[in-house]
Amino acid sequence: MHEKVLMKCINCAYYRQHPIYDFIGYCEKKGSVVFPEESCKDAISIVKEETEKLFENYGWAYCIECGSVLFDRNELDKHISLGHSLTQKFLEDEVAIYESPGGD
Amino acid sequence: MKSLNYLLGGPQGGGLETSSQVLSWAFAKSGYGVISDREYYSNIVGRHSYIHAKADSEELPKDLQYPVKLLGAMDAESVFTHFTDLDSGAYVIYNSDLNSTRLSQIPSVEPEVGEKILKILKKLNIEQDLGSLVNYLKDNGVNVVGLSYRDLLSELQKKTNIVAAQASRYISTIIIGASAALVGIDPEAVKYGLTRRFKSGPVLEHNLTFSEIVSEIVSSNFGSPLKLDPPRGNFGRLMIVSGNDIVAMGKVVGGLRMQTYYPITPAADESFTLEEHERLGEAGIGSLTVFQLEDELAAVNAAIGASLTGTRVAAATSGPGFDLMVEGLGWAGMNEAPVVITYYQRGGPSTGQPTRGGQSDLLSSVFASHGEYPRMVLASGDHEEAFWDAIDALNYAEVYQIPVIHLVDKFLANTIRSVAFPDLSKAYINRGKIVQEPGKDYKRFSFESPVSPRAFLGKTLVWYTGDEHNEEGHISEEPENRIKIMNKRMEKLELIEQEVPEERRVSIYGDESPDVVLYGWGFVKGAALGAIKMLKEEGVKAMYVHVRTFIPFPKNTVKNIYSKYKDVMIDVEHNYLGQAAVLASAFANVEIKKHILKYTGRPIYSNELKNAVMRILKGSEKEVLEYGA
Repeated sequence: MHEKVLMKCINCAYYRQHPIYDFIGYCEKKGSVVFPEESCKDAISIVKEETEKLFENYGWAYCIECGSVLFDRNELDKHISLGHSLTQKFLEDEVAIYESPGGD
Repeated sequence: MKSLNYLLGGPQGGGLETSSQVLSWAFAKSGYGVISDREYYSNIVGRHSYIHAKADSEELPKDLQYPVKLLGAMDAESVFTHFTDLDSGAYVIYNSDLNSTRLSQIPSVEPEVGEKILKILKKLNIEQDLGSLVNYLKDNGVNVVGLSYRDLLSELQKKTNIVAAQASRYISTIIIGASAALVGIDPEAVKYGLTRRFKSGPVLEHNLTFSEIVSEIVSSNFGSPLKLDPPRGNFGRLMIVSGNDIVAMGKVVGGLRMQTYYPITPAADESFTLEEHERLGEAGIGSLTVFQLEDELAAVNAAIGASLTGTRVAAATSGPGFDLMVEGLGWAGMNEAPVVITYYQRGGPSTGQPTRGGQSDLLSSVFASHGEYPRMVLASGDHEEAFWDAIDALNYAEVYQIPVIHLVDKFLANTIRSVAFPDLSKAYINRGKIVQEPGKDYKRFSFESPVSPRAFLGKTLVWYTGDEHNEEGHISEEPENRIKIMNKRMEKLELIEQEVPEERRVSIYGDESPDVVLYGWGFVKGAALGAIKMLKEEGVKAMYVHVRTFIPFPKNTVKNIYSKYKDVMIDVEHNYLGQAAVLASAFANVEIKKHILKYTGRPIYSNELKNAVMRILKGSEKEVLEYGA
């Protein structure tokens, strides 16, 4: 169960970060663009156990604060202990493909 | 200002293409000439990309140069990477929310790039954070347009509901709106550009509004300090096209009926453009066919197969793909099958630098083969040449029944330019000798002439084999036959020597009594023409010898110019060996001893070429250029 607290969007379980621009996010609850430093009364905290479970399933997690992908369990624990926001979900960007010339 | 050199930087996939295209269209709509080169990593999304561009009030520019007067930065990395490219009095548009971002915190910065930047920051006594860098720039004559991208988006969000899945579009528009304000582009021209890019719907509406908001903020604070002079060029009808696009256009005009390919950078975009215009009816009848195969071996062989049925064909590829095509080309040479290979050069060897440019495949295109067979090698120096070369290549291939290799470099392929609409009345299609009703005595490889009439599979029985063969096409290893058929094939080279005029092989630019002669090919052309103008301002008269065909080689012109100017003749190329100079030695027996070479994967800029020429004139024998991020 999620614990309901007043917090910044970046720390909220509803928050989905833009895959390229880390100052843009998306709120799954509101269904609209939000910004990481905004705070919201509807925000809910990311539950550590869920992050760990997702890490076990996906094999990776992304630290929003550090902008890095974590593959190692010890690394994950370290970022959790620092209170970093970890996720496996991003805002869906449907136009990046049109902005990315081939490179193969 | 007569012209504006500018840079737009940002993460790959983050909207840079949109910013560049909209600004290019807006400049062109306002009557300015534009050129923009795209530089990007092969990692597809997230790595640093940039557009280096120029808008000109008097001409359709062909060269790129540093320093720049405007940098539009979508992210912190763009400022860190390009602050050394700025001219005095330049303007930087950047995201002031990122002031606390430290260089070491940016994961997309390549380690070697990071070290290089760090060294410069240390030398200039600048802290690693963006805010400190920006303050340094302010203190050193650079005008900083700091905008809170977050606040701008937040403001827009209050007025409308930003389309989340297209959020990067709005970042593009910040750069567009701010740049347009500083340069004083007509808002209607910006509107035209945005409309052309986004077509219709909420994203268009939002971005039209957003562009106005951003422009208003910037112009009210900074005015339009980079305003270009009113356009004075009477350019007529223009196209804004990439090199890939214009080769595709040339092929369509040249009557291409089938294009084969396997996707490879930087060639694939040409095939994609052709695919967009592929219109086939139920029976496969309609426009040209674009055929993507499983690899380049299949691509060249499918093209050759189609050629044997009388189809006008081409294949497009890049270095690694061409290597795979070489055996097939030999088969085409043996069987006198007309086929065009559009060869987009990138940095090699191996995978090399897939998204970076180079001119290191010249010797390969001229010599790649086991055994000997005739071929032609054309090389395009700009978009205009690429259009006509694409048509000529198709004609030459069928007239002489040979493989024709059309060299284009990545710089040209990925550079978007405003180009005058070609005079299509000058275009023609020559399919060479064709026999429609071959009799029973028909010999596909008749010894009567180096070029014997073609009859097509599907209409008549013709024998083809990779083995040596007789006039009918049957295998023969008999010595006298071997001499005759080898002579028949190879004598095409003499025919080509006689029929392709010298002025088709080479173009001469600049002063007729020069102090220095530049010798080059391909995308060097723009930089050379730009450098000639700059050298003139320094009191140096320069000529540029631009080679357009390597087979046949313009040996008379090169010999003649060399005989007069050998001590001041400089080979200028995007490779290590000076490959065009090697060919000048092989084909024209001249030894060009001075070289200006660049093999970083970035194009030669006219200003660095001018400076290198000046160093050569002061005694240097060889200059290796390295400018560009």
